[in-house]
Amino acid sequence: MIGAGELRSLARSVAGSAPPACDVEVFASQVTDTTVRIQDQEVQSLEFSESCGVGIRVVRDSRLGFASTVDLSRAGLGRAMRQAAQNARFAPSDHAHDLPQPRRAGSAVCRTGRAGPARPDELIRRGLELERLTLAAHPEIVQVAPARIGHEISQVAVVSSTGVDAAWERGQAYATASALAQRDGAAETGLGFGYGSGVEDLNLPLVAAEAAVRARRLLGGGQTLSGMFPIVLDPLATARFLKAFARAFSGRAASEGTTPFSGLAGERVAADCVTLVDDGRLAGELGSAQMDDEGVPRQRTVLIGSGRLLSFLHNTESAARTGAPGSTGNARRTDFRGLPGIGATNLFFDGKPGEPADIIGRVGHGVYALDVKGLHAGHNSVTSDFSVGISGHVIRHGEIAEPIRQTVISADLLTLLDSVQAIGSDRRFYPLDNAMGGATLLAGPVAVTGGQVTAERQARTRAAYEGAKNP
Amino acid sequence: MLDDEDIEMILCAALRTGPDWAEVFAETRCTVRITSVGRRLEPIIASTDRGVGIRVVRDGRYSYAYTNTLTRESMLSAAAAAASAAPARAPAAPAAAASAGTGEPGGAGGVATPATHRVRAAGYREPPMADQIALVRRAEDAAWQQGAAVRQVTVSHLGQYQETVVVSSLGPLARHHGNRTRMLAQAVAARDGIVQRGLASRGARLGTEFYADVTPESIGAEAACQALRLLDADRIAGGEMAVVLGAGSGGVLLHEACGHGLEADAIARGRSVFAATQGRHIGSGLFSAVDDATLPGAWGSAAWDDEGTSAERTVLFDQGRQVGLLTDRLSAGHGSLRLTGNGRRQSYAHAPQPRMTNTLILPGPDDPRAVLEDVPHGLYAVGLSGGEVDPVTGEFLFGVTEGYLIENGRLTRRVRGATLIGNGPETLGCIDAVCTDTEMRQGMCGKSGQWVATAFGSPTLRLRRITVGGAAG
Repeated sequence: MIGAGELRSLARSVAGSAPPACDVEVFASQVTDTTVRIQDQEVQSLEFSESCGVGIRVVRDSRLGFASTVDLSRAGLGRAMRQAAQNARFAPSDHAHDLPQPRRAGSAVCRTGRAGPARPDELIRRGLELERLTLAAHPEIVQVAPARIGHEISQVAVVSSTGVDAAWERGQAYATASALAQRDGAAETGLGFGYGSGVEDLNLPLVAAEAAVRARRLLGGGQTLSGMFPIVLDPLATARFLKAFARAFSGRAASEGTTPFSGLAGERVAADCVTLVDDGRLAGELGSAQMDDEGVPRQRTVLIGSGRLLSFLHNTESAARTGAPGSTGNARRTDFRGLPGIGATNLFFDGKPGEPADIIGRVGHGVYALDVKGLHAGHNSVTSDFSVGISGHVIRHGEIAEPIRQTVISADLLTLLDSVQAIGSDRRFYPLDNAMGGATLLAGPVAVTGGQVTAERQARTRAAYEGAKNP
Repeated sequence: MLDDEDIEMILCAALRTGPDWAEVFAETRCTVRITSVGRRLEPIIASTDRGVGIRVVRDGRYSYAYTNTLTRESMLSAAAAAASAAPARAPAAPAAAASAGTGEPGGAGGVATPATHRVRAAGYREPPMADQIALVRRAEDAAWQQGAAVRQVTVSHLGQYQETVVVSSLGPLARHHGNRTRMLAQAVAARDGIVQRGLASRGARLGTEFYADVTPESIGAEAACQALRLLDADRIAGGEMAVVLGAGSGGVLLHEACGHGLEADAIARGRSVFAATQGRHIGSGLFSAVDDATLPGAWGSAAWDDEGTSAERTVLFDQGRQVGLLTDRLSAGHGSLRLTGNGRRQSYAHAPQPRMTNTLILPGPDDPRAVLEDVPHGLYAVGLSGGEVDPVTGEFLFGVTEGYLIENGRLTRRVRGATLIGNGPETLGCIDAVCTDTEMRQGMCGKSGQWVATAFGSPTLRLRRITVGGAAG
């Protein structure tokens, strides 16, 4: 494992060997991760990973080529450079592919989170504690499968012949617990998760309590409901919708005409109470950093302001392609193996919030969605139509009533945003593809279709569970 | 790729602390992705990735370490990390490796004299870049030609060559090399303010010779035609109804609604609704299904799984009776379950899990036309877009990419935005027709953060009754 400073030296050295008349950007990254899984107070698995590699963009006459390699020898890096240059020959000339210019001089390595790797024994101790806490949360919690704790350190350097010279290092710890609750033979699962800059920052009692509460809340479900109803989304459900529809705000999708917001800049696309913000500089949040993956400073971007579409998210390429003033600092790479795409950082609803209990209290007869299932399959990113499963409750006379299951809600994003009536003050960022800020949200009415949960099904679930516990 | 001496050295280091067994998996993967958006060629992505993963197992628990720095020092360091961290339920037995064995053919081969299996493969000859670009051009040209309402076309060609070697202290060394090729096309069509999307993808465990059977033109045209057809589609009114799944779609249902629940790790963790029904009749007598990694050239096929177990065909359901499970070494335990060759991983950076390969519902006796004519009111689902399942309860959800309303035995209106929601075991009992036709689909299946190539196949099926989500009915 090498340090971020050494990684930057490597990137500088590779960028310095650019072919004549070419601009070059070198993205070097190293990620180390340690994860432990605990079940039945025993370590099920312990995983260590260390991944290091370099991605090279070569631009000649506005023709872009790319190659990546994990072979960091002089010969291996030279091969990758030649391959990127060769690939550029096949590309069309396109000024949108010109590399970003630096907005400020290169600085020291930015560091956030815990610097050194977590010790395996510390992770194991915290994992055992998380499982104990989850099981102790309520007698109906009969299993945690599994409790997972991990710590990741990512180090990145971006150096280009156009003057970008940046490096950063970031430590991040995470914990999840999947609780299984059982009552009268019925079984349900619930997930709790948390994150922090170091393992010691993880609030394990909160993770355990969340898993237990979510698992228990759905026990006894079996009601069915069909028709048009107002819907209240739990913060997690709101966060899942934000994750699914973040692509609709991509400048690239806008340039391709593959988002429902294409051509609607400045238009009213949501209810007046909706202000949607992406802020990559929020202190201490999961999606925060000083720079994006092209070395462009992160910023706060208002996507929807009081119901009007104000901006898309951009990297350098999409900004050039759409005529936007510049990158919004949202360049995002999965790793060194690919070109920068576009990603949200901390995405959340801003504005005047309401109390969650008051929001639910405004609904006479409706649906409370505790979680959403199947969003990846049940939504169309081009049209924004969605038809997805929910687990949750009936809302009756302003109060949460019996659980519902096997229920689908259907609408489209524009209709949903247009029908938002209130957003709660209980904002919380969830680690869903960077950070999605969930909050209680009232919208609708939307189409709700409920299925039957039969007594036979409940019996089968019970038999399956008993069979697995006592093979 | 590592030579036998390197691998032996790493394995010895992994066995240093006397675990039950240890395994070394090394991989080199060359990938080329060519994408065109709106006739504009995107930058070509070319990557070479390689690395080694080491797993050390004790008492059914494991530690896993990987590195992509293939120096001896780095690989030995990863092996030492895995060896020293291997969790145990009880104090480890000393030097277990030499006596460990599964009883499988060729097992207990040991480290010192590993038997070497070589498999036949086409070998790696990367086609000229210009030829690969031409494949993408052919697909997008075909898509644009389908109609003036086509507004955007995106086509990607993915070519991949992979070499792997896996050896464990339990069995022989297995080497594998081969290609995967996949093309994805997306078309957007617009008319009178209505915008719709069509998707098509095809793939195989072959090189570009794959396109001799499945032309790029057919993939591009399929995406564009679907988008154009959906312009005329209405939202379906939700409710419970009969659903006819077009050929190929039922395979997606099998995969999500049943397949994941039959992966032995879910059963072992007490997290599968199928745990208590092994050997019982839970499905219609018309329903038989297999997982088959031996299909020549199929997207999910391989000669070996990623633990070095021979690929095979596993019967999951025989005329409605649940008879099979899919195992990897860990979930099979110490000989309590048979190894089925389903230990798969996304790459060297991941420990194997039991995963499906090519899952198929076997053809039945019914005529697709007659099956439709028998439905007074229902949905004909031409394609499913993938889905999600909760293995504990067996509840699943799928998106329907394209569908038609069935009224009095005839297809009437095109519908969009439908979702199927139900319960795996219950749905198997609802199958009341299985037809003679069969089609395959290809996709990437995600589980616990790992994505692997899986294929799904089925004939046309009819479900007597299932919940369809849609507009308010």
